[in-house]
Amino acid sequence: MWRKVAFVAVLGSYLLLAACAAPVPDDGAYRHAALQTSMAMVSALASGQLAAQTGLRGNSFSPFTDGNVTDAENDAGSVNSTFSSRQPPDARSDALRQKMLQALSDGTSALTDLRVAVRMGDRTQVRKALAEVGKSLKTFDALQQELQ
Amino acid sequence: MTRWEEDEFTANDLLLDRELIDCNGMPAGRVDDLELSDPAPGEPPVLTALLCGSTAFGPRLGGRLGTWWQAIGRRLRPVTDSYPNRIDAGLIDHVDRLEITLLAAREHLDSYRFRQWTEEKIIGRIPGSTG
Amino acid sequence: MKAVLSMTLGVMTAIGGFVDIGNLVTSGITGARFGMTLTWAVVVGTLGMALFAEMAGRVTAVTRKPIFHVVRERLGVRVSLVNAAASTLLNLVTLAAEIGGVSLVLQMVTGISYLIWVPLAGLAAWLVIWRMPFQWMENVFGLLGLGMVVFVVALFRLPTDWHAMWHQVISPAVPAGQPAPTWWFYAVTLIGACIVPYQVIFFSSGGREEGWTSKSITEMRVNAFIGFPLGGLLSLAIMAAAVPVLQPRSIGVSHLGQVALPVAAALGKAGLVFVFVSFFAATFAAAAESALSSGYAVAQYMGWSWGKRHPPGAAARFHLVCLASVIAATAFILTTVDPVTVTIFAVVLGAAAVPLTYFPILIVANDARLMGKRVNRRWSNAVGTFFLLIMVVVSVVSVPLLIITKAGQ
Repeated sequence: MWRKVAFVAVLGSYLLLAACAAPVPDDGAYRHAALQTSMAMVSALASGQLAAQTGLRGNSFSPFTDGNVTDAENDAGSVNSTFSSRQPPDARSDALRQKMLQALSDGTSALTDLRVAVRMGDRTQVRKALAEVGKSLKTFDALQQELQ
Repeated sequence: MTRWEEDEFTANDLLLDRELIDCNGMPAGRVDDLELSDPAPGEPPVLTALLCGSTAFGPRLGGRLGTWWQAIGRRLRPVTDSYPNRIDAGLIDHVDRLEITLLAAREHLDSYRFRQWTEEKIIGRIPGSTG
Repeated sequence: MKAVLSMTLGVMTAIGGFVDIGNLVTSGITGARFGMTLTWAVVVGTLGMALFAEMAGRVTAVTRKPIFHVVRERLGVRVSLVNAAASTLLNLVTLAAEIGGVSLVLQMVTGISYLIWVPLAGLAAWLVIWRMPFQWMENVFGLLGLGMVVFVVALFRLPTDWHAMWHQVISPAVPAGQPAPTWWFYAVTLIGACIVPYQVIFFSSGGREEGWTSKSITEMRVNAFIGFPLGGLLSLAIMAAAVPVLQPRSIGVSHLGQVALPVAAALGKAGLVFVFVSFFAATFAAAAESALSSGYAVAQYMGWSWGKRHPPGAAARFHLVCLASVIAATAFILTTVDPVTVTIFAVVLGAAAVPLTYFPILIVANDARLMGKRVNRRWSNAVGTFFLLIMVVVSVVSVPLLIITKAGQ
């Protein structure tokens, strides 16, 4: 019985050590994270855009459109906070970080504006917000190209 | 007089884990173990009862899990005797490969207790249970 | 004439009944991300499910007992306990996913947060188990689920590139830019979404509830070999609809609403109504069925009376298990864990557990003394064993892939 306990304890501590001694984050890993973040933002922005456009064309019910745009907004928000809390490993990554933070902030506020406009049912506002979303999409597309 | 489908068989083949069906066609549990007794000194043992319930099931399961199962079963019984629920061999009507039919109704069997408790205390209290 | 009608009804309910939240989510995700390159996984899963169900159905029809009964009798106490325990646990996770799915559908329709719907969905599912007659439940929800055929219609209204899709179907490969482990991971999820243990338990126990005998075997086979594959086709339609709409925009699916967007884009509000109704029917029926399957598994293993054909008081412990399952699953989803994530986990664990649930049935179906002349023929054993080997491979890689890809990233 005690032999089993000891075995589990040793195995457990080994696994714990292995996890803590994870490779030091480097420039490459940070760029990879930025790439993943850009792809996730493109997905959220495009999703919100498609949902709102479908709504404008009269092809969906307002709770449905609202739900999709809100989901997109929430997705963008969590992607934003996850990336923002990452520690950049060196000065070179810091420049990338500034660029990303700016783009993320623009993207999430574009989706928030879109959600507000959709809920208010104001078509003009929706179109304006869609233009913002479109701009943000272009920014992230460019970032993706750069990071690949 | 019990009717047996086959002349020679093993406990595993026809008896153990078989479902018990009472005289009304309702399921009455499963055979978890067998009770064999010596009718007279020197005579081979005969099947005197089928055993059912968690106090019989626990030992069959074996190991630590089986011990726990048996202990829990013993605690939940209203009677102090830890011997498993017996279904007398005289109550067995027919035994074949699919099931064992009994001559009694399940309400009259000891193993009915848990079921009755569940029905009275929980299910019976929910509206709509009488179908 | 009556037999034809009854058979048609059976097939139609099998189609609607085959698709549940697992299929909706995995088809949507894979269509948007990998196009039609994972069609083969749906084919494997569907064929496997049809084989599995036919064998279980045949055992039930011949022995006039549901499979858990026969499994315990043939394989002994310990092995069948592992089987029953694993199935029950899996049913619980699936039930949680389905209740989450019902709530997500209701959120999609009304805009009210899914968490509000969770307890209501749980209560409603339990009420259906408690009081609704079995046949009624199967037929109503099965037929309503057929509304998913709207995805097929949508395909003809969307700029679908049939040629390119066909090419992806017949020569599958990991699409450029996508990590291979993730592609294989989603293949596992698609297979797991098709071969769902609770559906086999339900197919078999349902057969007992309806009083199947050897004469019912043909009808049962039609349900399994025509109904389920047609259900698989519906899953493929959902996958395909995502391709012209979501994939070009690089939209990754993580919410149920995104799965429905292609229909909205193609067919507008009318199409959406079909989606709402059919999604609700599919997930709600699946919730009731998986709760019932929890009850079936435990009650049949223990030898208690079970089933909806008795008034609830006469199958007290069975209903207690169903009630407890619904409460546990509802409580789990109320912890605000993401229902889509729960669904992915449920299908992966399901895929991992298939050999455990399938192997006993293969053994029992080969028992000549039990099955008489309906015992497995050599070719059906060959196919069955081959399929079992595939599922063992799937089972072995499923959890490692889950860990490596961090659940599909």
